[in-house]
Amino acid sequence: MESKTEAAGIEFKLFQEMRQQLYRYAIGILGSPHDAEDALQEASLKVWRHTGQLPDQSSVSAWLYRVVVNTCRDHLRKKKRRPEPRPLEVHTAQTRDRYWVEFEAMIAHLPERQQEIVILRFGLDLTFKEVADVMMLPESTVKYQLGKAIDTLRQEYKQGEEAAGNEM
Amino acid sequence: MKCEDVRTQILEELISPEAGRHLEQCAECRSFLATLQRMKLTVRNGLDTACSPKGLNHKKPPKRVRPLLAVASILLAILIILPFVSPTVARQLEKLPFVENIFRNDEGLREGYTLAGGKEYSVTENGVTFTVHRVVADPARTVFFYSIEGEIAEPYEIEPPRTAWRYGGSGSTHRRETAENGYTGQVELHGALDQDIEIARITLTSQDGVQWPLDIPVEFIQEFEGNLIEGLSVERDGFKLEATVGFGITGTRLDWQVTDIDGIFKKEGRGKIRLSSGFPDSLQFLEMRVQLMSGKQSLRGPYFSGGGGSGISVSSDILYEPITDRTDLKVRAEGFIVGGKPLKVRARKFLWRWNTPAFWLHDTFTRWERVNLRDDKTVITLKFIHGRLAELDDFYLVDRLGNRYELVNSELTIPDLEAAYTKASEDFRAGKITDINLVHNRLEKYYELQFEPLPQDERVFTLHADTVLYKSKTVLEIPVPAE
Repeated sequence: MESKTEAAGIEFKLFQEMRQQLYRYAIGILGSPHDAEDALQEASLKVWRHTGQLPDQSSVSAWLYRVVVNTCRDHLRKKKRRPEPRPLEVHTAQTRDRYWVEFEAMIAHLPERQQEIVILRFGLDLTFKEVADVMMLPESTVKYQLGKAIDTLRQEYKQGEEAAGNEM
Repeated sequence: MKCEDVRTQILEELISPEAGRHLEQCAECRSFLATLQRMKLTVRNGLDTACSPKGLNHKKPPKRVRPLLAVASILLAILIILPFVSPTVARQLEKLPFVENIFRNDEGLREGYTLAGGKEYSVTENGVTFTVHRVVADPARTVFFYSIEGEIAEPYEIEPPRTAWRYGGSGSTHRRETAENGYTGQVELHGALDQDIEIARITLTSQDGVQWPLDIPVEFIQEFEGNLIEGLSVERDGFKLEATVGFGITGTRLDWQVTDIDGIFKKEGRGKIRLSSGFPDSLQFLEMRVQLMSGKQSLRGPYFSGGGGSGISVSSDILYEPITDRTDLKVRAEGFIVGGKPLKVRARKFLWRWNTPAFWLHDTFTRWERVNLRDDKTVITLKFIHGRLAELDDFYLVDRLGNRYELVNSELTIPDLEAAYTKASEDFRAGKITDINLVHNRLEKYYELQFEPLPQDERVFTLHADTVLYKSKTVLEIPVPAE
């Protein structure tokens, strides 16, 4: 009993320490600060209630990401908040949110799993091994999926540029 | 060089001169590289914008603010000390799921909460009121119950005062819930405040940097004399265990540190002492156990524990239930995860068959299941059963001529894991077992290791693993004085 409760304590403490990183991940997936905060709240309760595995610190991190990933997926299923993809290269916002608009437009072109890989790899600077641990996939699959994401976006950027050229 | 190989290097962001030459010639690969760079920049900039203090411009519809708070928002910061707990807030606090949960499993805190009584301390600024409703403090723990009313930039943080504990008990745990017009929550320090402290500062900070500091007079619900046992220490087999024990009305806290005295594991490049082995990727689930025991029995709890390590030491704190009988108490530490000598085993081929004898490694039976020298890679599968071996890593092969072949892929498989866990979960719920993780240790595990290809006609090679972690047999004990 001891080790289980001790594990929950360590996991919860780590969750607090990693909160900013987890928030960054959640906002990337959900696209809304408020949904991200809600998801983190929900995830923190799941962590608190968890009385099972006690990995070492690196495994706990991967597990915490997974809890947040799954919570975000649940939120998306309930709310369907992610906007429909729109052609890339169309920047409507002229404010500092332009970066966010670009990000939203880009990520919406990718399937769920590739979105997660892209955010973990480039948004959180995880190594391929760390991404693989979080996603519970082989590293080779992570690389393959990232390659596919790049190929998808290459096509989208190309079409966007062609469309822009035709308009001119 | 093929496009596929170049793109692999692009993905890994390690582009060789040869791949660079390919890129000069290949527009498709250049486009692939440009897209990756653009994607990386877009993700970083996008998330930086979303997570910056100003956040996004997608504002949530404002919450309904009560007229009283609207008036308060135009006032300067006001520190209010109320003579009693607001019944509404107290009810709200006690309605929270986490408070209910905590009290249900934490009679000590429930008693402490009642004894602490209620004086509220509040600060209001920018339309937000931060209130500490109750502080429960004794020689074992310190808990603040708070609420926030009004619209606050999230995520907010609460910085509590520091504890006076020396080892692992310096952290805190924060839980919160959304309330009708803000939040309520609890901050628990993993240890006690300094017994001489008179004023403790707790500060709320919003995401946009606004702060609400509160200075709160501290009233302990129990005296420290005879209830705080410091300076416990013992050394053995190159390890040192140090501990402090605090006896409180709310609980009993053990604060401990284990040190590898000579730093020998680190010095010899044999890893470092750790709290636990990796899981579920490790060969065994092993964890360092430091606990407070009454005779041969572990005390009930713990509720909280945190921990960390520096490579030559690890420390943590554990909270147990309140103790009334202090006879025959001791602190016991065991199961240190330490680095061992690197693994080096030889495989030799006789006629068509590889001679690969099984071997014991820290009481773990280890067998070669397969050796396959393929054109594109060398595949070796090892099987492990039971024992104290926690992890093997940094694998490579060396041939007769001393050439080294690197690991390119590895996979640990535990065929019966899912079924065993399903069964263990049922047993755990039925109270038949107390540690669900230990089921992992009884299962057979297979490590498939893929290396750069050895020559097909190779007949002798050695398998190396430079990182070997296992559980030490050392046990350390310190009797805790009754007074």
